[in-house]
Amino acid sequence: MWSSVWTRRINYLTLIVFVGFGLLFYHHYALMIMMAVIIVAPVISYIVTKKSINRFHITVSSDKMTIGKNVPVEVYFNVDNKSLVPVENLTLKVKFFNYFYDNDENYEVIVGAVPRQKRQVKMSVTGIYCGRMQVVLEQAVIYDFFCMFKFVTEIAGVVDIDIMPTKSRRFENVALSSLGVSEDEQIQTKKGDDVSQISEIRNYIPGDKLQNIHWKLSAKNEELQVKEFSLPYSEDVVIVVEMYADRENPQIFDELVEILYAFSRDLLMQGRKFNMVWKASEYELKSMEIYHDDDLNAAIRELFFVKLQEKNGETYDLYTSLYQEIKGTVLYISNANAAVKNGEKLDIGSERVMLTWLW
Amino acid sequence: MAVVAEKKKRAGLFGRFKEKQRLLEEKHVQLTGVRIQDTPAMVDVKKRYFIFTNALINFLVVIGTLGCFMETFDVSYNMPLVMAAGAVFALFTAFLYMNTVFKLLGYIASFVGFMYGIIHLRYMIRGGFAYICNEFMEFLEKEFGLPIERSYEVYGYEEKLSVTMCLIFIVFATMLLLNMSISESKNFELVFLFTFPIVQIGMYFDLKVNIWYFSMYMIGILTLFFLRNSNHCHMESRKKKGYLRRKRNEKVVFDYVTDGKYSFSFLIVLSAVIIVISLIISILSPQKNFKMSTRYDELKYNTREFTERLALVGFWGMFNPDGSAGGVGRNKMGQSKYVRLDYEDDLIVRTFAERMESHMYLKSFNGTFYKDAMWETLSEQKDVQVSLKDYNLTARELENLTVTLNQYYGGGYLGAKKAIHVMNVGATSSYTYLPYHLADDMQNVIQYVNDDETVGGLPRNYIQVLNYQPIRNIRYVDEFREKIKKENELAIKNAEENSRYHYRLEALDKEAKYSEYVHEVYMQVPQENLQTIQNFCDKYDLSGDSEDIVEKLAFIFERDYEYSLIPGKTPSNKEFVNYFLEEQKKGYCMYFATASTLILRYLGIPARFTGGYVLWNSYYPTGDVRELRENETLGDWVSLDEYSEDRYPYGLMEYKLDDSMAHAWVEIYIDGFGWIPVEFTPPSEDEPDKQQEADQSANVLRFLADNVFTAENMNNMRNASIGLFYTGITLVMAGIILYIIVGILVRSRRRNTKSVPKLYEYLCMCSGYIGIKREPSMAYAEYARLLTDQGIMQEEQIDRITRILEKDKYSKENACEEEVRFVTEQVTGVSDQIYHQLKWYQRLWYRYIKWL
Repeated sequence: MWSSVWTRRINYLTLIVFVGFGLLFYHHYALMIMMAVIIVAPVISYIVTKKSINRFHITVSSDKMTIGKNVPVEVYFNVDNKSLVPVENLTLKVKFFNYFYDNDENYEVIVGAVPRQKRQVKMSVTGIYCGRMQVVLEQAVIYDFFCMFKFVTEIAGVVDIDIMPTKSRRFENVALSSLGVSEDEQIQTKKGDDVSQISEIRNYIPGDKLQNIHWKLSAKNEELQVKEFSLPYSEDVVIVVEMYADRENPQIFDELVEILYAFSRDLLMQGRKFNMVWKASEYELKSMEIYHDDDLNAAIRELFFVKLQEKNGETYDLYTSLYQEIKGTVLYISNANAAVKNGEKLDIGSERVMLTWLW
Repeated sequence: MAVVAEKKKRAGLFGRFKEKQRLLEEKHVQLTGVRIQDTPAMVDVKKRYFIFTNALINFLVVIGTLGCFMETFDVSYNMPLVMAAGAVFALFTAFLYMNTVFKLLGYIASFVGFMYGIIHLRYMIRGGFAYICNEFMEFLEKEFGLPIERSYEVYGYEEKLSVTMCLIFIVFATMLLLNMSISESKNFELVFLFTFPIVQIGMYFDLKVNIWYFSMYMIGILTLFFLRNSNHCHMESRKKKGYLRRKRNEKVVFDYVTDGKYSFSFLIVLSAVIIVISLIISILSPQKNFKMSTRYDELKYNTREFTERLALVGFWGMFNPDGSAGGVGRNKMGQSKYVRLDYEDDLIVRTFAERMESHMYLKSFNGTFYKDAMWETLSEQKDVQVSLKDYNLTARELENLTVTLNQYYGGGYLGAKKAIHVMNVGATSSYTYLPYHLADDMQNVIQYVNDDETVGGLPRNYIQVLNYQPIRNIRYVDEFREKIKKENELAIKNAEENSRYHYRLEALDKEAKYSEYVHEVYMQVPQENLQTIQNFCDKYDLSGDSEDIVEKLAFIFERDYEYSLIPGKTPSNKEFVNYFLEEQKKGYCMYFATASTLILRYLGIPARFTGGYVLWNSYYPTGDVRELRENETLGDWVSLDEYSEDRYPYGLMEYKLDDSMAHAWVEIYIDGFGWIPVEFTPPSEDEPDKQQEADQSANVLRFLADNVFTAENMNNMRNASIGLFYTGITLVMAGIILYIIVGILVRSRRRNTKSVPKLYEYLCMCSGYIGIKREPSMAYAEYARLLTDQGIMQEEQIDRITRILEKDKYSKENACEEEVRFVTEQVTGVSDQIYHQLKWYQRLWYRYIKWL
């Protein structure tokens, strides 16, 4: 049974009436003391609580700043009550949401604040979509000693937690080796091999990928030899990301991010550098060069701060209008509804997300 | 079948509702992208604060209540000792809620301790309680000016010791009781209802209440009030652990169940506030200066009558309006310690009271056969050998025999015919209440009349109009008997001389036959009473030939026996009359009437026990004067020929008869006249003199020596104690064995389970015992890392278990037999490994107790 401030006030009034009746009935000194206590105490409580509001320090924190999808993260609400007032229903008004979609849900977490002590409430949450999960502690409602008066204080504490895509997805059905490679090279390349040229053979260093080991040479030299690749011969690959999401169906954009990440990793695993391009503002495109995993993670994190577009295909329009003449391989990743005038759709095994080879 | 179908339907509806809720929540999660894994948890919550707070509240309430009451009255006891014991008990009772094992063992220990106290210290505790009650009763007597005469045996114990022990016992029992309410739900209402009636006693009687004890009570009860008002008054349970989730105004609210630290801090701050305010008020407005307008005094004084009655009849007496009135009834005698009087109107009687009239008896039934401390009526005794028919008599012929005979004797023994209105407003409704010597044909006024009983009561508030001739005052029964004898002889002589009076002879003949019948029926004395009655008669030199036997017997009772409404119970191994005559020697009308009836019968005087109401002639002037109504004349009430204001000096009066006028008396048969009422109950004495008090004290000591501290009693007590102790031990042992057996079964079932999640849960429980706890929100991998870090399991093993668990829980396939076997082996291995790491007492706890 949840009792509101008004319920408490009515109950308290009942108590006063009851003691008042007792005082009239018994006309006894002891009840006069009791009456004085229950009349004066709330006044004292009100004044003391009002004076003590600034002595409450309320913060929010988290044990991890980057997690994977569906991985629990602990969010802590910390209440440091430096006053002498015990507050029974210190109410923290909290929002949890993914920055991309901005669909929030309001929560209230109630804490018992003990005088001169710190309290910590732990909540375990998971993000089911990639992106930046934000925990916003907006306000705290502090009640007086008897919970009959409330005081609202603004907190504005924020915790950002990056939810990274899963690493397990592969695109075996996409002919990655054919992207951005000349016809001659394509002929020379065997299936499964990398398209880059070998620039150097060196000794194995722990951490090197197994697939880069030159087994024949290693067998010959009786020492592990590793192939060092140079940059591709052709122009860099560019991946243009359409930053549009239907807020009612966040799953589609989430799948887009997942595919983008997986596809990018596959490219990196094959030693291919590329550029990732997205729309940063109305007339500006942001481009990041991706050389290895760290670059990719940084780019993805950068992506999490981008405000999503209102219309589908805005990035495509801007990119094509600005970079029509630039040579190279341009891939465009978007939801399936994006209107693409030219280019070849690649089969990535998704009905909601499409990858188009623009040129 | 229909019920089952309905249940299914309900369950279905509920299930659908829950499923709908779940889908809605899931939809919301899909929109926001954030899932709250579990309800929140407060970090660093210690149960000991919760327990300590409950103990403190319990202590404050109980000691405050007791202090407020005890300090009001002048009883000596050792309060610091009581408070110390109270502190220990408060902690003990609060700790019962630490966990299930504590609760189980704690309540068993409480039971054993309680029984031990009852067996070994019961007389001391009862004595202490008696001291308190006697003090309170004495106070009530003075306060209300009532002859309550209720006192309790103190068994000779020293006052301070026994009162202190009694208070410790009361504190223990009360704390045990209140702790259930305080710990489980901070039930302010129940605690208040239980304690405030005691606290307010001093206030009600305008006595000085110790303000410090009252402050303790106030702190305790106000803390309960505020905590009860909060949303966090209920104890955490397995279902309600930590936080509760609810939806309010499109918001999800997570509210904590309880917080001992907060409650404790609230209690401390509230105490400080109350003490400071109380001190300031005490300084600004001391108690001696306290005055309030007297206009509200009436509020309290209106309840005085009610309280007075409560003091007289006790709590349960208030709920017994239709029981035996004033202890007079058909119940087995000697079974209650005292008489309860409700002081409600039972009968309303209107009549002209005559100056020379004897007490006005309103008879309801006669007891003819005494058996097993009860009187049976003639009609109840089916195997009576003699009946009126044997004497060629009918009940109808006997109806007005005394009135008829009285006419032959010149009408000198009965008063003039007059009317009486009897209205039953609260008396037992199965009887009709009739005055002696009805002048009407009785068939017209009551449904059935037996020789000794009026059967079939009239409805409540129905006014029964009767005509009767009251009996005149008979000072000496022997003298009266002699007079009647002479009148009788004269009547026979006249009748024989004058044939016109032959019908007198017929009436006298009937009376003679009835007299024979009476001497046959109303002379029975039970075999078990003969010896006692014989001893009594020998002691007081009573025989059938003694002169003024009735007056002599009444005098013996007045001199050597005591009228008391608190006679105490007759021991189960004693016969009621024998115990009364030989040992008890105190009682009320039922006691005296019963004993007298049997003694008179033993002495050869036909007598019978009679119950009903009596209006003592000394009360005649005290009724309410009732004027004649418009449609009434004086002739409707009295015979105008014999009317005079001197004869009826009080006029038409209305009397209200209550329990205090319910009465039992004796009827004896006077040959040639009939049955007359005779009194053997001595008058009550409100204030016994010093000599009597001294006698009473001596009686108490004698009673103790003879009844309580006898070798036989002590032996019995010892045997009973040993028996109870062994029973207690047996019960405890049986409980422990049962606990262990159930534990073994539960553990065995748990270990043999084929369910991988359950095995995993068991693994978590086992590791939790050595401090490696898995929170519900903890990822399996994280828990696995903890186990490997602590060296409980190899990485490969726990990884495999995790994979099997994930497969079992999340994939379409369940774990195969080989996998289950693997998990079982590993979990069992871990359990054994933990077991061997423990010390012996930890092993005991781990294996046999922790399973709960």
